[in-house]
Amino acid sequence: MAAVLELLLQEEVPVSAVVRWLQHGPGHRPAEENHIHDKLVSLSLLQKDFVPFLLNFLREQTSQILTNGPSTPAKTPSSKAHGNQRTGSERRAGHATSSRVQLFSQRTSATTCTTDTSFSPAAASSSSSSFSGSNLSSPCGDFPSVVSSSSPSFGYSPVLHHGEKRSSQKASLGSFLTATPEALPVRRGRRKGNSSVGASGRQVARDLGRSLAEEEDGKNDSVLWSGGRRKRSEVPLDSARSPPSQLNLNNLEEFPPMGAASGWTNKSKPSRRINPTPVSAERPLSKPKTCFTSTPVSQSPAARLSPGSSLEAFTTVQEGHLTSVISNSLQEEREMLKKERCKLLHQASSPAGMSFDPGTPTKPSYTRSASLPAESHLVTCANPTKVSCKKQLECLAQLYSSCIAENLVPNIFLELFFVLQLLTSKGTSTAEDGDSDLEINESSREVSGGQHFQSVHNCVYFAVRVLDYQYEIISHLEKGILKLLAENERIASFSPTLHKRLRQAYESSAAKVSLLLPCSVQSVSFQPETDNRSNFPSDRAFHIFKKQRDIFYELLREWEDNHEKSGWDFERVLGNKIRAMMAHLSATCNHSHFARLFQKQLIQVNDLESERFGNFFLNENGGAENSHFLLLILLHGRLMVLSEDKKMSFLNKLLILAVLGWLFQVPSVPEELFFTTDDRQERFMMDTVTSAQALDSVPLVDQQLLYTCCPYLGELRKLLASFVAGSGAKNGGFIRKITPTAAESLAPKASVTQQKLQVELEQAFFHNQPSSLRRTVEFVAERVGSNCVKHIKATLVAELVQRAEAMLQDKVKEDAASHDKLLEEVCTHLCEEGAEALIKGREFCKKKGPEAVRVLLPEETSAAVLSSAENIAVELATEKACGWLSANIAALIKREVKATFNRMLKVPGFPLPSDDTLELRRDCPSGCQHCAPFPSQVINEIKDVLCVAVGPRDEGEVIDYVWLECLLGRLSQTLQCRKFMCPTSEQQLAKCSVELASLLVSDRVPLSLEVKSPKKSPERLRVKNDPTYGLLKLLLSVWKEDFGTPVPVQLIFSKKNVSYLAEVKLREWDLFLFLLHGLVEHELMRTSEIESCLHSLEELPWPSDFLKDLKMLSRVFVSEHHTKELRTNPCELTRRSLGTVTAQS
Amino acid sequence: MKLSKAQYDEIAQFLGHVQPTRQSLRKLKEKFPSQSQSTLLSIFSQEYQKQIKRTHAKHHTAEAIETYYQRYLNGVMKNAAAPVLLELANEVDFAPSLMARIVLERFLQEKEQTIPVTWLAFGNEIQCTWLRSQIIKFPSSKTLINSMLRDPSQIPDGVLATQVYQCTVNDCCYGPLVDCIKHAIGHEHEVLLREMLLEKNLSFIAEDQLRAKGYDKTPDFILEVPVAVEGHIIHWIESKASFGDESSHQAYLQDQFWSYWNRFGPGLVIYWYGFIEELDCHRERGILLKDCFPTDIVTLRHSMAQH
Repeated sequence: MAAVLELLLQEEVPVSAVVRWLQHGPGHRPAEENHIHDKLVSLSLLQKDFVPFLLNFLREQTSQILTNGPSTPAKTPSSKAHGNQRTGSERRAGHATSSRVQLFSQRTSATTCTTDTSFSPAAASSSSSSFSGSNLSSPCGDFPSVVSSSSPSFGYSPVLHHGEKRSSQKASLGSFLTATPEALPVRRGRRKGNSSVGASGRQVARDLGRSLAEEEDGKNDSVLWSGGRRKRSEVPLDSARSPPSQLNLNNLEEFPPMGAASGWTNKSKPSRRINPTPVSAERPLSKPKTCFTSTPVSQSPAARLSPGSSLEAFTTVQEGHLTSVISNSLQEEREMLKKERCKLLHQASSPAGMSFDPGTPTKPSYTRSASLPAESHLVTCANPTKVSCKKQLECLAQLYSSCIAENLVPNIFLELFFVLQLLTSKGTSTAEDGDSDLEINESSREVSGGQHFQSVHNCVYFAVRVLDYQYEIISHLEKGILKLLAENERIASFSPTLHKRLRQAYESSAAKVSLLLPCSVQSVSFQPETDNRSNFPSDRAFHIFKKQRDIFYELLREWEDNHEKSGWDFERVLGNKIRAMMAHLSATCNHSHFARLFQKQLIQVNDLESERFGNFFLNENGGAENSHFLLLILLHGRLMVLSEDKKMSFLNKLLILAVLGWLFQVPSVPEELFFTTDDRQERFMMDTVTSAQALDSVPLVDQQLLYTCCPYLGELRKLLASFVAGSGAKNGGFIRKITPTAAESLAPKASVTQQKLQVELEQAFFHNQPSSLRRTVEFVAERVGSNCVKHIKATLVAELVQRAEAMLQDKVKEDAASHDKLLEEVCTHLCEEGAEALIKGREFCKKKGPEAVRVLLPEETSAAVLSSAENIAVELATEKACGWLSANIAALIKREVKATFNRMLKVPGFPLPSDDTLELRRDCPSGCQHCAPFPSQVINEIKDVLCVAVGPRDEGEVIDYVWLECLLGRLSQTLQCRKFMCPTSEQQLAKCSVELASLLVSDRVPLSLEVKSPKKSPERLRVKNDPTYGLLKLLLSVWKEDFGTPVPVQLIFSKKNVSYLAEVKLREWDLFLFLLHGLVEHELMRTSEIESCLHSLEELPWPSDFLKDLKMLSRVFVSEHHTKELRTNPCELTRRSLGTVTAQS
Repeated sequence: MKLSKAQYDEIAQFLGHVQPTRQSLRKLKEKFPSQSQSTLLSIFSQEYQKQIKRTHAKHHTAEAIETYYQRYLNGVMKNAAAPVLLELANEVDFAPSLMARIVLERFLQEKEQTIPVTWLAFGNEIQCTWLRSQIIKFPSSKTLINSMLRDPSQIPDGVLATQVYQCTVNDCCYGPLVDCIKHAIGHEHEVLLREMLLEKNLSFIAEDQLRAKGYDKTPDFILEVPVAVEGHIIHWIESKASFGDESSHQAYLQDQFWSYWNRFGPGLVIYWYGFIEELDCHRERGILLKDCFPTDIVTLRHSMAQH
């Protein structure tokens, strides 16, 4: 590592060569081919560890200067982690951060735990410190073992460096401890063993996130960068400390609001640790970088991830393999370690080392720095003329910038933050005077040829150079920070050009933002194909996801609305909601759905929003420890970003990468995710291109990884595959979904050679054609295949399901126990017919494929080319469609039939299918203008009549006969026009009208005949002249003619309604009898039914005289009816018999 | 009809403690002649429901129930034809239908213990056995009680049946009849909206189709091609045959509108009986309120050309 840097700084190798070296991993192509510099060729094994080394080198070098703000990610505790990951062998040995690697603790704790307090904070470039850090961290840390087990591949023998490490750590941790007396106890209390420096760089990075968030909130307490953590209340606001013009502590508020809300405030919660970044090994951000895939053979992903394998055995194997691998670099590493140790010892023992660290408020020096007037004179005035070793700084700036530009750093924003720290570094008079600690100087010089960052001037120079190189990224930053950069005096004095550009960026950014502002987050649309019930294992899961989706957006909205308000606390307001939502996630295996929702949301958000969304999500994670969920999200996120290269806008990508960068710092996320997905990704791309496998068998994602991390995520592979096949395509899919041959070809299998030849011919055909031809063919095949499946579903399957419905309809009444069997039979029967799908599918593709190809290819395409293209398209489409159909048609039919059957069972009133058909049969009369009163209105009016009838009435309240007659007329119209009628309305109308009839025959409706009558309650006209007969006739006619639903006329015989009659003093049985005959005449009830009803009534305990009447009525009705039947003249009423009844009453 | 918050408050104020009777409705209409009757009725109903929600608990204490039941028994003993239950409900400021439910529930509890003696004497053994089994299975089986409230003829006691019916018929805010009317109104307005969409040549997927496709949340209509209403793009339309007051709107936002937004993007809600103007504050975010079918509709040009 150091050697490379040395080569660079001594100008033996140009920056471009190093970058090239970094970009090309070993093992892919010979070095010469990539024009790798000779001097670097021998170091090729180290290249993937170089970036972390560089990052830590920079942090280490600048650590003495950086007094503004949190101790730099590489300084003190963090440096340890950085260091240990920097070197190649070490990375392998411990590239998971301390918080993760628990696997080794069993083995090593005995030797290392005792050294707990002796950790060196400054072991930055020493190797393996993270490794021992992990040893030191609690063996029973609070990370689930699934997570920690995801990085078991550090086969590199941990024993190797132990002795060395311990000694090196000892001194500096001691100093660290004394330096942060307040911080440590907190941490210790929280998490046993975590006081070790193993908390590491990651901690710092997380603290950065936290501090940014808190700064955003205006409650800055997170200038604290040491591993320790304090309660907010312990920290005085120190905004006064730095001059406003500088982008330091104060200016953190302007930093991109990643993790903006204040969800981090609950520091006592161990689960929410935001650990400093271990600028861990390489994390290529947007593209698979070869330099990251150069994993030694011994580190096959399977080995790395194998979850259940015996640890001991595993490690042994790894060690064996690795010994040879690392032997090259081992000597070098050892040398470096020695130097580092030496340096650290010096540093730690020197009190001056501590005095450089006023940025950490918990340290004693804080008191000093908090007093503003005293401090201001300490701030160095950066002067471009005082910059030394410009050449080397320029080299480093170039190299560093290249790493950022090439996405070789884990988190762009973290690096930017670092650069801004450098830009705003204050230094001290000591540093200013140039007589900085000699020891440091010497030790550093040993490592990499000099202390280049010993003065503020140098730091600022470097920072400005880097900012210049990173102008594109910076220019996309938020307006607030652009303003500060544009106004920064140091930039102005060091680079007037950059200053000018920043001013421009700031000015143009204002307009840009205002344009974007009105947009808010857009939702992810519901797609039945992926989101409806059939995509969930149970009703419950479906229902829960429904809620989750809503909660998700509810939270997002709430966050959007409130996060900028002061006093709004993410954790307090949303914490529990999020946890509840996440809890459901685990409970129902809805991860995939939620992950897709999240991922799509991430894709959809536009530039401005992705930032917000990222913030939101960061906070969400802050609230919920759900590693499985995160894991999925991250995988999706990675794949998405990798696949989105072309389509995404620069800023989109940048922000998403930034978001993901932060996410990868969450402790529960195995950082191998970076490498592994990458490896897979690349391998996958190669696979599809070269070996032409069927989609299903493509190793898109390392299953091992997934199962290791989330053993129960059985559907993950499926999910990812479908992502690639589905939404991936929409977004410019990154893989070729259609491959020349499918593994499961439906065509009779030709011999392997024949097949191979065909493939070659096909490839050859496309080779000499414009590439658009191939794209067209593949596109057509993909679409036609997909449409074919849809078409079959909508036609054949729908038809079969309908038939199943008919078959089941008759049998469904049978006992529920036989339902399953019944269903099975029907399905078996239908599935046989489902085989037809393949024939129909082929027909469809054969018809549609050529049509589409013809439309899409240029008119001038020659007949032969066209025909070949058509044939290939048809064949590919058929393979796709029929492949799917043959595999799924039976299951599909079964599922649909079952769903239909369940619906049948659930329909209220089932089994009464006739209701529906009855409803359907009825139509408005021809020429209906749909002008009839609304059913609701008529129900309401009848209700009013019923109110008056059953009372209580206002004094003298009557119902106008004519009006009531009209109402019944309207009832008839309303029932005839079917447009606005619904079953419940009609049933209610039927019921109400029967009640009305009952009240009419028992004289409960106070009818007023004409307005002319002065009397409010006129003497009722008897018998023939009673207008009630007219109303009853109308009702009978409406019941008979206008209702489409059965009218519950038997209610007339209910105890309640008959009791109305019983209460009447002068009973008028003739109206009742008239109604009974009317029912028979209108075929609304049969005589026998009425007789039986009357008979039942007699059984009830009535007053004796009423009972007598009732019996008489019954007799009269029967005799009259018999007479009528004998006379076959049912229309005529016999007044004589009625007279008899009334006389008796 | 849009009402300002102040206008609405004036009406709500007046409604303070009005009983849900047709007499009260009449008074309301006289007091606010310029407002549409449907709007007034809708506000009345909502306000009354709020009041009931507030006092619901106090009417359901064991003591209260016992008191009501005894008062009912005493009342009908004196005069079974008098509107005992209804008057009781009005007296204690409770919805008649809900009072009927309380007393019916209490009555059934008592009957449960005495079924063998009294009911079997009625001779309808099968019915009584069934009833008993229901009551035993579900001590206060909602289904059973709802069924009896819908059709009081099923109530085994004739006097109680009459009293219950009187309550449900006279109640203009609660009860099966009111529920049915509300349902009918809702359905009718959906049909109206559908007609208007057809008239405007806006193709849509209706709720039943959406359900058949397995959508988990279904607005009344999803537009197959979105349109802009008053400059705001909408994807879906929900018809609400009620007045949009604060509490109902909040509940709808929570249960429906935001859910639609979460799945289909921005949309339009039509409160046919009006709403409080101030509630139309989510336009930018994607929930548009109207009290009628919009006139300012801009369609995608391609689809215009087709028509």
